[in-house]
Amino acid sequence: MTVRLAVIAVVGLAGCFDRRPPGLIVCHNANCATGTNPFQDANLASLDRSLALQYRGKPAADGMELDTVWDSAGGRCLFAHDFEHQTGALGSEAADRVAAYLAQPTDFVSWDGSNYFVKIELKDTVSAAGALHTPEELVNHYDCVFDMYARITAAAVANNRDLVIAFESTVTLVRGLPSHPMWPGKEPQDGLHVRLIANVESPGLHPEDLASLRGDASRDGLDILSFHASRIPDAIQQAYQALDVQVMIWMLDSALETFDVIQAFEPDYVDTNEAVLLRRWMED
Amino acid sequence: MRLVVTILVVFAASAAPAHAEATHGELADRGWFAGLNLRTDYGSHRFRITTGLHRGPLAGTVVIDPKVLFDTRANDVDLLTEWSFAPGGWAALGGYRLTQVSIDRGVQYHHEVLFGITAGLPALADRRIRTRFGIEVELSMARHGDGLDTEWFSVDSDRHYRDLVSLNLFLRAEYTSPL
Repeated sequence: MTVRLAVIAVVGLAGCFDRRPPGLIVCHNANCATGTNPFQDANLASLDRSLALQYRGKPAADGMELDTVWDSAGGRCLFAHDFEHQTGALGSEAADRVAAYLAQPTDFVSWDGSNYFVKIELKDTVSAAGALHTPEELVNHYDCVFDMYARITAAAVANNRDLVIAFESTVTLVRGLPSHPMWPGKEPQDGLHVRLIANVESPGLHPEDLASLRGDASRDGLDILSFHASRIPDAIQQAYQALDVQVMIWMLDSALETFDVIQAFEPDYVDTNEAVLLRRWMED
Repeated sequence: MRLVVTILVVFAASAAPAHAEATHGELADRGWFAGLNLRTDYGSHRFRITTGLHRGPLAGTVVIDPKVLFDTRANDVDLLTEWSFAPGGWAALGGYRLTQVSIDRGVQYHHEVLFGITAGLPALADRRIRTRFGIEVELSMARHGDGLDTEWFSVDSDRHYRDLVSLNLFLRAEYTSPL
C-alpha cells in the first residue's frame, strides 16, 4: 500500500510539473495550416487554409493574425508580412475573408465556440529598403486597419460573436491609434473588445501602461506584451510575469524550448504557425 | 553561428598537450563513467543521467532522462561522442538527441544534431569524480509524428531556422573508473 501511494504521489507530482497551460491559439501570420514556411506567410491562400483548419471537428485555432504593410510606392495597404513575398493582396481582402468566416452558420468559429480573436499588425516599414512611414502614410495606414476593423466587427456583431480585435505594432505606432478619429475605445459594445499589443523589445513602454497591461480596459495604454518564445532572456520574461501582465508568446517553429517556455510562463495567447500541433500539445 | 565556429576553432588550436601521467579515472587509457548532466536551458530536462566509456581520447556517452520512468509526456536521450585534445582538458563534442513530446492522440518526435565543446573543471576525490563544462549548438533537423506534417531544417531564410537553432550550456559531474 505504501509503495502504491508513493507511486501515485510521484506520478501526481510529475503531472503537476508537466502541466500544460491553456492559452488562446492564434494563427501566426495567417499561415498555420501546414508546416512552417515563412515564404507563405500572409497571403490569401494561406489565410483560407488556416481559417478552414480543424482538429477533432472544431477549429484548431482561436484567432487569426493579419499582417499589413503600407506600400509607399503603390499607395496601397497590403496584406503581407514583408515586401519580398507580398502577393498584391489588400488588407481589406483579408478582412473580408475573416468577416465571411465569422458569418458562417456555425456555433464554433474557434476551439471554444463563438469567441474569436483577431490581431491586425501594422509593419513599420513602407518599402523593401526599410523606409519608415511619413506622417501622411501613417494616417493612411491607420485608415486601412480601422477599415479592416470595421469590416470584421460588422460581421462579428451581426452574428453574435464575442470578438477581441487587437492592433499590434511598435509602441510608438500603437500609441497613435487612440488618437485616430475612428478609434472606437477599448470596449465599444457588448461582445466587442479592442486591445493594443506591442513587442516587448519595442522601446517606449511607460509605467502608466501597467494598469492596462493588467487588464484595466478603461485605460488607453498597451494591453498585451508579445515575446518571442525563446529569444527573449528569461529574466525579462520573468520580470513581466511577476507584474502579472497579459502576455502573447509568438514563434515560427515549435521547438522543445517553445513548449517549455509556454509551460513556464503560461501566456494568455500563443501565436503559432503550427496550430494543430499546439492544440494537440495543449489537449494532451 | 560564426562566433560559435570561431570559438571551436580557437579552442581546438589552443588545446593543451596530453598529460604525462594517466593512471586512473578520466586519465586512464580506458575507463567508464556515470553521473549527472545538469543544465538551465529549456531544450531538455534540467537533470539527466549520463553514462559512457572512453578509450584514449575518444569517449562515447549516453544521456538519458530519468523522467521517462514515470512520465512519458516529454523526454529525450542523447548519444554523444567526444574527442579529447588532452586528458581532462578540452574536447570536441558531437552527437544526436531524440526527443519525444506527447500530444493528443500521439507523439511528436524531434531529431536534433549537437556539436560543441566541453572542458574539464577541477576533479574531485583523487580524480574519481570529474566535472566538465560544455557548450553545445543544437540544430533541430526533423520533426514528425502521428499525422503532423514532417518538418525539415531549412536555411531558405533566417526565419526558416531561427527557432530551430539553440545554444545551450551544461555541466557534467561523473564518477570515473578505469577498465
